[in-house]
Order: sequence, then structure tokens, then C-alpha cells
Amino acid sequence: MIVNDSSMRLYVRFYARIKEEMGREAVNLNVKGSAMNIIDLLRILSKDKKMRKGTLIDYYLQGKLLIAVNEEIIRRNEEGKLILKDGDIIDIMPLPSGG
Amino acid sequence: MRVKITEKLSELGDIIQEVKKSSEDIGAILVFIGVVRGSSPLGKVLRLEYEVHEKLAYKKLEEIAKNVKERYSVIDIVIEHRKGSVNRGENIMYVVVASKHRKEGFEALMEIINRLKEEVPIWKKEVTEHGYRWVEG
Repeated sequence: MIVNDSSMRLYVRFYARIKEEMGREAVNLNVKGSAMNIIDLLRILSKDKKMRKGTLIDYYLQGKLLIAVNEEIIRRNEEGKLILKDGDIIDIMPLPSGG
Repeated sequence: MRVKITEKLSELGDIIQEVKKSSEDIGAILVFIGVVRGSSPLGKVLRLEYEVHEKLAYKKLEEIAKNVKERYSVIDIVIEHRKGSVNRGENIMYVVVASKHRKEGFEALMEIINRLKEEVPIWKKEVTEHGYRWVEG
């Protein structure tokens, strides 16, 4: 009998202020379900984790996040369209402040 | 054309000599130096600490340099940005643009600086005598 548990392993990395407020550099997730996008992921990460000015999903809704998947930056408002896959690496970053 | 993220910037004179060699058509060399300002809303600045997503930052800097070089038809571009700790008064970054005429050089330089600040995954933490803050993008 083959059991398909439809779960995915995702590796999420945090940077700069986000890393500091999340209290960690990275997290390995094993999530159930196969049709998950970045916004779904942010909701999972936001559970039980309040940051200085809200949660990760709040920061996203305020337009304060830059996100990359497998080291390709995702254009703003395209986050809902990309379906994550098993083994994906997701970088969650604040908006740039170089220079 | 090159970009570099580094703990120690090259000598600016060397960069200028480097771009001069790229063509005999150069009539203008524009230079921007970013410097750590001594004051902030929190008080006297001691240093800035830069964190970088290096792979993405290199990719984005190269994309910006290539795009600006083509659109403004400038001859050469060098961008260097520090990572790690940079003390008050020290140089943070150089953007050097070589062009035939000054008009396109100034325009290219401004666009590179603006896009670097908005698009390149580099973040700065401002450390002052009264505490620190992450500067918001």
C-alpha cells in the first residue's frame, strides 16, 4: 500500500531585522499539503510569533518584506502565484537599506 | 564593468585608473562616495553594521550595472560596497561611471545609487551612543 502524506520540507532563512525579531537565523519546516504558496507559509510562520510591529504576515501586508525562493527574488504581489515545492529554500528579508 | 561587496574597499585612485583604461572615448568620470554620517535621530553615530545576502546582492548589482550601462550608453561602471562594520566618517561605497559626455554619466550614476538603495539585499544597522536601530528600507 502506498501512502501519500503530501508533506513538504521547506528551509526558511531570515535576515537582518527579521532574523533578530524571529530570534533565529533559519528554520526547517515539514508542512502538510502540497499546494502552498508564500502567503500560506507566512501565515504558518506567524502563528504564535509576534514581532515588534506585528507578525510576518502583517509585515508582508504592509509591503515591508522582500522574499526570494531558491535565490530568485519574487516580484511584489506575485507571492500568491508561486506554489512552493519540497526542498525549496525561502529567504525572508526586510526591504533593502544599503548605501 | 564590475561589482564587489567587500570588507575593505579598493583604493579609489586605482579604480579611476582602471576605468580610464577601458576606452579612449572617455570624456567624463563620475564618482559617488557614500560616507557614514555622524548624526542620526538616535544621536551620535558610532558605526553602521552592514548585513548582506551576498549571492542575491551580487546578482542584483550586476543586473543594475548591465541595465544602466546599456540604457545610458555609458562606457564603464564599477560599484563597490562594504559589508560588516563601518565607522563614523568612513567610506561605505563607491560608484564610478565613465562616459563619453557628462550628461549620461550623471544620469547613470544617479540611477545606480537609487536602485542600489531600493533593490539590493543589503541592510544597515545604525549603532549610536544611545542604542541601535535597523534603518528601514
